[in-house]
Amino acid sequence: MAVAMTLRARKADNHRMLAFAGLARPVAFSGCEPVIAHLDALLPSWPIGEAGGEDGTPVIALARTHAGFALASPWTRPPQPFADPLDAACALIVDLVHAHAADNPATLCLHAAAADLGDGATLFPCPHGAGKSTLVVALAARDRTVFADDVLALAPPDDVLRFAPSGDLLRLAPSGDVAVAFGIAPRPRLPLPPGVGFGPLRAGPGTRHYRYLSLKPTLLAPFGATAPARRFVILDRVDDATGARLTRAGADDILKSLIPRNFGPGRDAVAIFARLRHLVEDAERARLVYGDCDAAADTLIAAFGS
Amino acid sequence: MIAEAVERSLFLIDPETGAIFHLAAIGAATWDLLASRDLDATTDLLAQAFPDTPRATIAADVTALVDDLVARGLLITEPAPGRSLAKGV
Repeated sequence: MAVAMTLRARKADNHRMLAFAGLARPVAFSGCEPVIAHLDALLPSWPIGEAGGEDGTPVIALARTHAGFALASPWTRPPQPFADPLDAACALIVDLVHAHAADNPATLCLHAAAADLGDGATLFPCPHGAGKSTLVVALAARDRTVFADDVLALAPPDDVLRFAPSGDLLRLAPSGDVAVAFGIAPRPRLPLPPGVGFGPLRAGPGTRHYRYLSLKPTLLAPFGATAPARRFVILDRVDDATGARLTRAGADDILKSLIPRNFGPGRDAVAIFARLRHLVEDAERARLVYGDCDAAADTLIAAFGS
Repeated sequence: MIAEAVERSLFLIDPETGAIFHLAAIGAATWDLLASRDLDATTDLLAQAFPDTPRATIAADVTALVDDLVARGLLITEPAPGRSLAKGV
């Protein structure tokens, strides 16, 4: 954990300017070591370093106040106070993702969870309360890699190189966007549903409202990891139901769920729609109706796991 | 305004505002009918397609949809006689 060691080594400093990979401008911290101390658990793979003087004015500023911490950014106006440094770190992560989206206009940003069931990313584009964080925790407990529990990016892929049967090296034009991970630790809300636990997973920092998980590296896709979007699954949690079952979902069903989840800065709605439509129509599509999170994870793995 | 049909749905994309609206199957069919018919003729056709539903119910639903589309700037009223609405595409 070189990042964490580097950050902790400067503990005596009161004012820090940190550079986050993918952001054009640094983040200013004034008297915020308790917040910084959480970053290695919450963002275990997002490259962070001390910013040089040439990086300019900060895009996000976090400062110690008499009552805790205050966060200010173009996405948090007016500045928001936080008594708990972990709450401040959570809010900082939200703004980091907004800043990343603003500085990478070719990407789309989605409120969605995703996991790698063995063949790429399975995306769950659902609103708050659908159970996506809890579901990816259940998938992680079954050794499936969490790609995101709340937010991910979609980006045009790099060129793909393949050897043709003749031995010639071919440069294949990518056909659509790929999912890109931010490497943020999953954070299920508490209490977990009855019967759901962290299993073999190690709990990280938390409050009485939520808890981060400290996943081993193989179970959390690192910052910048990419994967093809193999399928989209709408989560339909029915509280009084038992078990889980998969049904077909139309491309229109998926798009209806996916479009409101996009929060990137792009304003070209026609282009955004075309990208999302292409992605959805090229992928498998399903609806998962479930009342039991463990059954939901088992059903997904039985249907799609490899 | 750009209309994109995807399976049974219609997505209405407003390039000016960046907004994207979704019409499910019945709404999409109503949108298509309104492109070449007035409100009464559209209601008549839908009433024929759904004979078990009272015409008054269908008329209320179509009016509510049209009011919503007009309020969102997706439909504009057309002053020409004989046709009350025009698609804003």
